[in-house]
Amino acid sequence: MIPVTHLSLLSSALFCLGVYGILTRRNAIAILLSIELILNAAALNFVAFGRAFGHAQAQAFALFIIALAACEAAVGLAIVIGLYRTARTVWADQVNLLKG
Amino acid sequence: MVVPALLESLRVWLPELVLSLGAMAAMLAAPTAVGAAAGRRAALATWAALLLAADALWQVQGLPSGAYFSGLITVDALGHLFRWLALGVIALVVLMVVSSSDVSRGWVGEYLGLLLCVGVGLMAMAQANHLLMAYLSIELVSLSSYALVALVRDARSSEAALKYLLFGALASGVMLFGMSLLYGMTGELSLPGLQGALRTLDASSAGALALALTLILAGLAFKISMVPFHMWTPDVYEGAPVPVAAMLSVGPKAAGLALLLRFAQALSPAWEALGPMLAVLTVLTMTLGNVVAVVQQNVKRLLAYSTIGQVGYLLIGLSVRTTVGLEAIFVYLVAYLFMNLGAFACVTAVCNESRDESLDAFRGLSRRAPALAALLTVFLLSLAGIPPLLGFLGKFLLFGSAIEASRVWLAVAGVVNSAIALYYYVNIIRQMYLLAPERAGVLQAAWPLRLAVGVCGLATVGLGLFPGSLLEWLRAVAAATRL
Repeated sequence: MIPVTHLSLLSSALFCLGVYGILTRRNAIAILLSIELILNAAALNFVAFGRAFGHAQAQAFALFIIALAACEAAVGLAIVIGLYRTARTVWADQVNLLKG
Repeated sequence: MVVPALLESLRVWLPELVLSLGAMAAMLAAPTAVGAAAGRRAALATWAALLLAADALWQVQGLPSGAYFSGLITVDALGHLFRWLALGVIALVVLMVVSSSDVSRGWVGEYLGLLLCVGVGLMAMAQANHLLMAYLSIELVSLSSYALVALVRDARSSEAALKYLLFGALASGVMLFGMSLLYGMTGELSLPGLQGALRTLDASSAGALALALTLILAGLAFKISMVPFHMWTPDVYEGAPVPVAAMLSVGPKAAGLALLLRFAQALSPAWEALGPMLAVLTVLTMTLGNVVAVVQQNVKRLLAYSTIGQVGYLLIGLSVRTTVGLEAIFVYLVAYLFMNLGAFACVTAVCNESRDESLDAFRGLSRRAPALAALLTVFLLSLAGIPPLLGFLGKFLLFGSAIEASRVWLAVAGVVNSAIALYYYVNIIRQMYLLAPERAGVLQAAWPLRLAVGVCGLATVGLGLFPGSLLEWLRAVAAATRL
């Protein structure tokens, strides 16, 4: 059985990778992918700690996270498609109509 | 055993149930007709749901407080107050949506359905008693809001929706990671369980606990546009239709504060460590919002920065954490609901006619629509905190609570900021009364807008002059809420 510390190290690494991706990537879809990494880091934490504590509730929490991540991806991709239709770009640094 | 408990929980949640069904009905009603009839059917379903929900909310008032749905939600005076606030926000915004020219007529059903979904989410946020419920309700509000911002098909709206989505998803992911750390340390997911577990936590994990709390605070700070998580606010408000910006400026702010209060209460001993940071951020939030608002030329951006400033005032009550501070937050939220939505309704009326969102559109409004100009003046003066309007009462109580908790510097910062805010609010009034109009003709607002402006004006002036029973109710709610 994998000890819980290893799993929480892995999830921290996933979280940091996600944050790094958000800060460095300029493509909107790549940023969405990085956000998925952060959500999965949290889900992994819930699963690992839930097993350590023997709680079924935390496993259910992870399932909810997966379902909501799918919803977020659906809304997110729809918004990116809408952006592409109006602005002809998916690069986050090329959309700069709003400022001040 | 399970079924009676579930039925009892559903009875308590009848308002939320009705609103959810109304959301589906509004979205399904629109495609059954074409053109204006589709919008009318959706509006009919929405009003039926809102009225039934208000009736149900009135009925469940007497039910005993406590935890329902196996401890996922809690029913108490605080939650009840914020359910009424959420219902009020949605009802007023529906009035604006059905008459705004920003909202394309073919999409009214979707707008109204998504608005009702936001309403359910706001109510759930205010009653969350469990980390899962907190996360789900925040996501329900967020996902519906992203879609509401994105429904307009133009480049500005798409850009606003993208920025909102990326910031928002990041904030909720960070908050979720904080929650998972908190669970790892305590083994508890419900807020009362966390409260007990944190008491017995040993001192060695104080650092990890502070990290988890900071991550959770970051997620909630995004929802209420607290500095340094405010950057999305002006861009999203500028790109979104005016009624959607109005909803975003009041609904999630109120519900986010309710959730912050619940977290502060449940995580009480550890939360105090965030106190100094929260107080500094309070001052930064109000100062940044008010100072940057001074140079804005677009009325939606101006109101966005004004929202950030107003959130700063509200945070005073959260950082002092006394019963008086709590009462002050409630009074100011009620005032803020009416005066801010009233101002947004006036902006909707002006933007409908001129298709222009710059401050120039307000020139000479007093000659073209005297009543509208007078009421907008009332709302702006109330936002600035001029007596005898309701906004003054709320601000007075907020600053008073800071002085009572011997944090005079918070009150001083609030007063200085109110003076700065007066400049840009009065600037709009100057445009309306002292400058010549840019276009001729009388500006006639649609009747739903006139109704919304009238209700808000009546509440801002009436409750400001006769606040007795409102104060009594809110004082009882504050007394019934544990700190």
